Amino acid sequence: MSLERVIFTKGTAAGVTMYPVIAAANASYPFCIYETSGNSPNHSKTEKSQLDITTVVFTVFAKTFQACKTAAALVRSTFDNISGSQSYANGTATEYYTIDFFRWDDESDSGFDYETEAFTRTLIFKVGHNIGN
Amino acid sequence: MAVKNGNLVLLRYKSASTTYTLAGVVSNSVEISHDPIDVTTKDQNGVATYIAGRKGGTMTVSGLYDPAATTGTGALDVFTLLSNGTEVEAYWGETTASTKYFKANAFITSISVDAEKDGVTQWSANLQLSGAISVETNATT
Repeated sequence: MSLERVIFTKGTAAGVTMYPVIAAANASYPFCIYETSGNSPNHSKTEKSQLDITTVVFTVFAKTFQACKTAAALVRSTFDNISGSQSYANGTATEYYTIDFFRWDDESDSGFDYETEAFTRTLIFKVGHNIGN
Repeated sequence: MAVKNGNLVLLRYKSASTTYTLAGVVSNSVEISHDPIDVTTKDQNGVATYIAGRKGGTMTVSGLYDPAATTGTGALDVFTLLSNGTEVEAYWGETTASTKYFKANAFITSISVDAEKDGVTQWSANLQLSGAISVETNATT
């Protein structure tokens, strides 16, 4: 949960409208939804994993192709290559979570959503952290 | 039948009267060999004959590199054994009471550490067994 809070906090601070998993019905464009899609722990025979590698998928929605590209570039520049102790808001408190690495791994146009009449672009990141921390 | 979960099979060693369990281990293996001596003569009609020869073995271990390991010894401790040429007693197998394990004296012959970008740092080491190799039973507690 802390990773998701870091994503929300950093994205929002950078000016990106962020939603976990699904956007609000009245979301204003452009916006970005984010979700984790898999975890690869590194266990040993006798110890729990101390470095978990999580795939994080961002999908950007915008009303024009150019706006979609611009918002995606902002997401990339906000998250690519961050590491170390990251602050996030938990209610009224500020808490911290350590990110070992946060790497942009892939990006592609994911098409035009006819239902919402929006262009979409997907960014995939690999994140190293310690979920059990 | 007593098929074993590999997680239960560990590599321990004894040095200066203290037994240590290696920390962060992902995989450990043992290979025991016998090299029989060919004593075939011309008059045996092409049938090969051997007598017992040398027995020996090696152990390998690989794991996650943790220079601050607190649940056992890690790569840096194994490096010290290699650097000092220390002969240890190596125990390969289970650790609970009444279970069996391989026992032999051993020298560390190599150690390597691999740190890949965006991946966990891993280490591995090879042990050359020296002298008799035996199967022992952990004491009943």
